[in-house]
Amino acid sequence: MSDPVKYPAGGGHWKEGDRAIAHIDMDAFYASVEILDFPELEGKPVVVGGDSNRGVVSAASYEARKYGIHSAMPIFRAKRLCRGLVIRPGRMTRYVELSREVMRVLHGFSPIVQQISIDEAYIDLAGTGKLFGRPSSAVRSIKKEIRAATSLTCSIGLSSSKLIAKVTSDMNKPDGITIVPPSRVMDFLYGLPVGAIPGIGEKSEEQLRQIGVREVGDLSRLKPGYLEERFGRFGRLLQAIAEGRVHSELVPWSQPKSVSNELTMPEDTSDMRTLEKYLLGLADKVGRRLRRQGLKGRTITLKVKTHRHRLITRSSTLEHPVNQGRVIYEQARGLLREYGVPVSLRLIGVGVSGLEPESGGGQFALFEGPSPGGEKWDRVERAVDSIIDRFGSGAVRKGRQLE
Amino acid sequence: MKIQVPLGELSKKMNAISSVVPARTTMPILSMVLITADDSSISFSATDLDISVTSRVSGNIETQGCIAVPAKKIAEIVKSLSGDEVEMEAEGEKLTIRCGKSRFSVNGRSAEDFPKMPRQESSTEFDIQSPLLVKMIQKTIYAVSTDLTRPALCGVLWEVDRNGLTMVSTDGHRLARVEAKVELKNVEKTEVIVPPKALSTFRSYSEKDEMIKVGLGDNSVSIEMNEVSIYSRLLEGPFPSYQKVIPSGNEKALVVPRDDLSAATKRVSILSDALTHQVIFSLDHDKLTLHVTTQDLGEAREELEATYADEPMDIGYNAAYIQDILRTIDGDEISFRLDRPDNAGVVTPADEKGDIRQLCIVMPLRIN
Repeated sequence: MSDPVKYPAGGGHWKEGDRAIAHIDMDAFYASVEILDFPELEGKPVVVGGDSNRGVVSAASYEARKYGIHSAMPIFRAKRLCRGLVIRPGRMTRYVELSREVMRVLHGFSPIVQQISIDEAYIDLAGTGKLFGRPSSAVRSIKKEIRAATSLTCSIGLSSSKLIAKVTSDMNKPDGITIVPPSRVMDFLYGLPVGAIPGIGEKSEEQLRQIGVREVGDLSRLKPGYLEERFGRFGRLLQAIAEGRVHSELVPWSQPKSVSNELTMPEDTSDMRTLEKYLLGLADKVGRRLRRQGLKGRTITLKVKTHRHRLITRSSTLEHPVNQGRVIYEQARGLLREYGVPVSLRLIGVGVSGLEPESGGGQFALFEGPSPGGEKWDRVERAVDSIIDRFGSGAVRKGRQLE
Repeated sequence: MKIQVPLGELSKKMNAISSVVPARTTMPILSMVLITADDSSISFSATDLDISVTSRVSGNIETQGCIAVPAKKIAEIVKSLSGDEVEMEAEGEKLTIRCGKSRFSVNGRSAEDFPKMPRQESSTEFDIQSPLLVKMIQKTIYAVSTDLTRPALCGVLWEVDRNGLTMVSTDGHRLARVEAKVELKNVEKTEVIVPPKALSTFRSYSEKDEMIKVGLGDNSVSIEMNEVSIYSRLLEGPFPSYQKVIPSGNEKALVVPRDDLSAATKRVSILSDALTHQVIFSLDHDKLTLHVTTQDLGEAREELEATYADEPMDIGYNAAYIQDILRTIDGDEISFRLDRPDNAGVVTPADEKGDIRQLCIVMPLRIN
């Protein structure tokens, strides 16, 4: 086990008024849950992902990572790297359950929590000193409580901004804490390889290397305005980082721009009936997620990937925003038929964008109740929602999905 | 089959029937038009399985017969022709079209493949003048919902009894109602919801002032004109009980000249929000001020003379809803009967006359 707390830029304390933001990242979340629930997997290389050769790795245990396996790697390649690899299909309901536990723990420490994904969140610890002590001891308590509540480990980065917290949570994994106190931020930042900044990929890193930039500190030595001139908006962002202007507010909840679901099918197909069956399931899921978030959207987008990995999207925009699976399905099916499926497809997905709150843009309604004139379907879909909330997504299916 | 038809009439009929043909379909036969020549008439039929239309053309029948041919192509060919008369001759699954020196041979399908919509008996029938029906449709069709999750609102409610016909449409934010007092003999009291495609198709064919026959069944409506028959499925109800949302107590009365209000609304709404189209009606003593304020865009304001004697009040409306009403309401002056900025407003012609009574309800927008 690694040293539980690291200070990569040296120690220091938080003063009154300093910002304190921690990034909490669950360790190999899906894989760890599998090992937790099935102790016989302990010590074995485990990945969670689509069982067929066509799937990709959603999460790899630390044992599996020793073989060079990482998430987003095709399963067949992972299998080639490791003979005894254990492949588990995902159990989303269970992961969501444990994720909710984690978020519940975090909300016990601060009201300002921004969940980034199922296994990742930021928490603002400023002003929680009286209750939980210094930020450095608060993060220790958070870790302990998450462990107590879920039996899972996480890694935490603590600093004065989201950016540094995120970068540091990755430096002492698994089960570690990394702290960069406010007085050390500039030292830490300047020594950081530019590639470690989220959003700087291999290409940008290469471009920066060509102008002699390897570390963030190198950026600050460039002529002012040069970065913007050369890289445009991205350059302005780099300039801000180089000047230590890396503060961004925590957004406890932000309205998503779109809601979508997609699926790599067990085998390539151009059969309309099969594709429509998958589409129906996906559209229902999207509708459910929209309703859960109290949203509706106007633009329905169909996404398909051909057997040659060519990505094709088709959209149509409705006059009124919708969130019923049935309507989303009908629109997406129309787009699919319009496309005509000339070749076999590997992936199919549907998304809704142009989102707005369910209640509409302040327009008062003439009738009371959720949906006069469409009561039957609205009642059906909302009843199905409550069954699925209680018993899981397999509890109710449309007849056509059983074929 | 061999027929000769005047080009002008054929062109008009083919154009109209093309609107019934579905733009996209997985059943290729639905993109076809069925041409039939029997002992008495020549007819063109198209269907999308929700609606079927048969349009009769006068012409010379040399030999009887029938064939299904691609509607869009035939319409295009007919439109391109020049001459007085077109000859159509079917042989097997091919249709030959001759006009002047042009000749086309189009691949078709056997008429037997063309789907027949199941015909249903009408349970009640009545006769009505076509201009009246057209007028009623024009005054209601705009408020029909396009929200497929509320199927009952996606059509126009027809209430028929011996004393007349009432049409109602609503999309949940506004409502339009027209009542025509006409004596309809032997009519059973009936309520049906008619899909807008049937109504707009009827409107597109209706040119002459003629008496038409309407038949209502449990699940279908038929409209018989001299030269055209329309048969459509009905939408499934129940239509929401709209009477309940017609306010009775609105005491604040505003009367404005229709054209002035329409022009002013058009002008100020140039700067309204693209999504809500919000325009605020500020009511004061004998004065109506329209104003629009949109962040990032700017503001606009216009004052109108009006008759209003109640307390000052601001109400927000969707400008597009107001324009729809002004476009379809009769009379030079319009009456608004209002209550509160969050309650339904009732709009009627200030001076009711003629053979129909008209009422619109519009819900306000929350002013932010």
